[in-house]
Amino acid sequence: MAYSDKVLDHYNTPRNVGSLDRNSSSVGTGMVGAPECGDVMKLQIQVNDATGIIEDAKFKTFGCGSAIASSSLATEWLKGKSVDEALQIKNTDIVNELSLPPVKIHCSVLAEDAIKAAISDYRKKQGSEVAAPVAQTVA
Amino acid sequence: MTCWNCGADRPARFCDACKALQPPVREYFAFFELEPKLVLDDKDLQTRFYALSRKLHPDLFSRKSPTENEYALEASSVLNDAYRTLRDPIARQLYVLKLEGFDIGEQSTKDVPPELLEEVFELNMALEEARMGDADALAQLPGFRARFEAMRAETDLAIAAVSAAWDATHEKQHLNDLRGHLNRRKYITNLIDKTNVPDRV
Amino acid sequence: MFQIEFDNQPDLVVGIDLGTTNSLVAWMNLTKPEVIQGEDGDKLVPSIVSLTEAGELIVGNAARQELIDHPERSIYSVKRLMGRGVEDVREELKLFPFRIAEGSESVIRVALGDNTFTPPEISSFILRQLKKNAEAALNAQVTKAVITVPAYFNDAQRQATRDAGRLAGLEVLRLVNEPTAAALAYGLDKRKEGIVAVYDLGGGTFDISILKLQDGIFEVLATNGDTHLGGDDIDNRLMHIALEDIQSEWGESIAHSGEAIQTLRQDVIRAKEALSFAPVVNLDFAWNGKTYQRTITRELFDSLIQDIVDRTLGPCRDCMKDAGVTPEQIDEVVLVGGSTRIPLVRSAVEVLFRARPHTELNPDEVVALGAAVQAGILAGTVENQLLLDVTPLSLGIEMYGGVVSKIIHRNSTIPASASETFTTGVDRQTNVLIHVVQGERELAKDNRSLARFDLKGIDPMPAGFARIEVRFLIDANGILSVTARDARTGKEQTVEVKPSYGLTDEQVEAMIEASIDNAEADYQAAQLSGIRIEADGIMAATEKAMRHPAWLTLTDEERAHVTAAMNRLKLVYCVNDHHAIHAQVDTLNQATHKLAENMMNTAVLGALKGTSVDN
Repeated sequence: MAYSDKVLDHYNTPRNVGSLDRNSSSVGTGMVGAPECGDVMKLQIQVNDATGIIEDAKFKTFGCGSAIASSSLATEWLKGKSVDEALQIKNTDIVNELSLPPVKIHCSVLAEDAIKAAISDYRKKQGSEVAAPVAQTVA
Repeated sequence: MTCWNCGADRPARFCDACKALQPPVREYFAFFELEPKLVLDDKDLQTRFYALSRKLHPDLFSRKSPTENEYALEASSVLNDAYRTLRDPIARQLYVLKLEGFDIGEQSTKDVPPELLEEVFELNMALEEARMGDADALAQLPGFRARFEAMRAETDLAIAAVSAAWDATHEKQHLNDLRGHLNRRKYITNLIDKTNVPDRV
Repeated sequence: MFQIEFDNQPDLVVGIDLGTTNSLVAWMNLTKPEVIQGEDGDKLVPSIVSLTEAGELIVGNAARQELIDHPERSIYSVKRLMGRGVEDVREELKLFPFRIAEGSESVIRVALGDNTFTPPEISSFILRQLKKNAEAALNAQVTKAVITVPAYFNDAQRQATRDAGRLAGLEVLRLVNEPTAAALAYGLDKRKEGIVAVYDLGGGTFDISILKLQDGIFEVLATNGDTHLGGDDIDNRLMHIALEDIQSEWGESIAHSGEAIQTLRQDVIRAKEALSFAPVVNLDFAWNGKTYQRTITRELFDSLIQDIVDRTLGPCRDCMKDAGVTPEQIDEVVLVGGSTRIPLVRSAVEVLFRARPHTELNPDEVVALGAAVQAGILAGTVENQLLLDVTPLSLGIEMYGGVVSKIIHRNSTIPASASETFTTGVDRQTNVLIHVVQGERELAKDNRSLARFDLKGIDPMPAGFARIEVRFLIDANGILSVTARDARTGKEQTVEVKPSYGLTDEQVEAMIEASIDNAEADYQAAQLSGIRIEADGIMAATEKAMRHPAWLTLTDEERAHVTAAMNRLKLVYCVNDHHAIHAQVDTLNQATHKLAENMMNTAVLGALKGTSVDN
């Protein structure tokens, strides 16, 4: 079985591990979990209120390697994107980029959920309540 | 359904007419001739397991036809898998959930109360700090463990209560509650597993 | 008659202990298992194979001397190589004089003189010898067997053992774990209920199994072990000391001489064995006119092997943990394997399990006896006993990042099965490769690679749409099989298996074909055995008839004719030529024709007279 180097890279040296100030009005926090695995993932974004661009993203995941790799990749992608662009990130993009095997697809779903939850939290703080769409699970 | 060997109608585990072993039923409770229940009598289950083993083990079919041999192998593997699942309370509960149409393995964040996630995250952070820390920090691990084990015992009591309730009424709400408790239990178990003092890396 | 009953009894199944150091064959003699001795009167057949200069294969005690005289044409402890790759055995090669042939890749080939053989082939030579011994002793053809394997043997090692059986012309009805077999041997007329620990320290492997006995069911709760720990390691400790001594005393090393090493090894083994009964022994070694002697006390010996004994204790503790029992709950401990005669081993076991070990049965024979019991269970002659064994190692599939996802956990009762659904990763993909491993480690590369299964012929469709349900089944022998079907169409899927180590079915078939000489020899043996049974029958009948009143109704000439035919048959009886025996059987048949007729007539006359002429 061949695994993409990207997977192993994110798995071995995850990027953007850490946390941002949860109380800041420009920080959105998403806390998600996969109960069957006992995984829990926190993903945070820092948004430039003027431009709407995500300037920083951090995560902390307690779970398996693919959950860590998925959230690591997600934070990489988030930086520099607008909030609206960030909402376009789909779990399938993560699956394709990391070549996740079928049994680990739920890890990419978790990462997509985390992005949506963080954006939703940010918007709530900004006063613009826009319901985040529920993530679609790939078959 | 007819007997593969003699064509008799609706054969049991063994055909009444020709005594040939039939392909096994795959549902675990039905295999043991039990009603689906969350609480089972261990002793009774073991008695049934031994009795069925004495009828179905491949050793007893080595002089029978290849077809019966194959069914014996299949039936014994179902028997052993069923016994392994039903005698373990957690595996049994997950099995009942699956049997009742719950999507095991397909749950997401919306199935977990946010407070639980926050709590588990904080506990994980504290635990990680202790594990990465010096001897003093490591000394806290047994304390964490005791605390988590108390939490699990509490959850187990709740599981026992909803299990008895479902067995009595078969109301779906009890299974929803059961799933919630099982999710919590899984998180706590993961935490307990991380409280071993790291000795070898 | 005895032989004829067996002819009508199709289920003569023997039990074989195919050991690292010694092998044995046993059978169920009516109600109790019995080890069968070879022509040399020895029950133990040393697991040594030699190829003589004349190209003849010799096995057992006969090969012992060859091993000393021509170590390059001999091999022992081949069990250590079964089902393993060249990489696995590098360490062994430092200690064992195996000559691995060039070009050994997935399957090792060992050189014996100018020929090379795979480990299953060499094992099959030992099995052939045991088969022959059993056939000679039981006077019947033996084609079915139960063979024992270390409980901790993995799938590849089990497959290799089964292949060896097939190559020896044996249908292997069951592979039984050695400690479990021992429990069967002990359990026959023992207590009905309780927890039993079986501690098996053999020549090359260590196994520990914990069983629950209840109403004739032997349920294995857990098993553990080390396939690289045994009496050979103890021998090597003593060898090491002796070799160093010799080098310093004689000013030269003997390590380069295979002959010297083998002689020393046998002296060392003798000393080791004596130390189990005496507090002090002398190790004597003579070579090329030089002598070496040293005294070995049991204290020294104990200190030399302490760590080897200690290495068995970890698996014992893990096994108790997996079985969910404490030492206090263990009712009995059974010792198996020659190395358990060592007092230090016995005391360590006694301390660990807090129970005095059972030693009533000969630890060298108990496994073979248990194999015979299992053979009886399969043949239907032993009832109410049933063995429920477990798989010693977890079965897993390699996943993302080389991580293993376990699908059947260790200590699961076998037969056991598990199903997994696989899909494709890219559009129009038509095959999926599954890498199956065995072991407890997290990463696939740290486990034992069993095989790569290629699921082929998947209908081309977008990635992630295919649903291939794969069923993994471990049978009662502990051997894996894999079947796959398309969950959407229900169509059976082709599974192509590439075993990581070991022979493919085709290779085994080819070897059986190639050993046509052996097949011929087998055929000859079967013919011989058959005609001897017939000869036994007619000779017994003739002897009885000679005491019958009808004997006196023959003329002197007729009587002389019968006696002569009888003597000629006795003469050719032991010749290995079934045609010759057949001819004499026919002659005797003809010569006794009138006698038989007269016997009938006198019987009729007697009946008419109302008196019996029967004596």
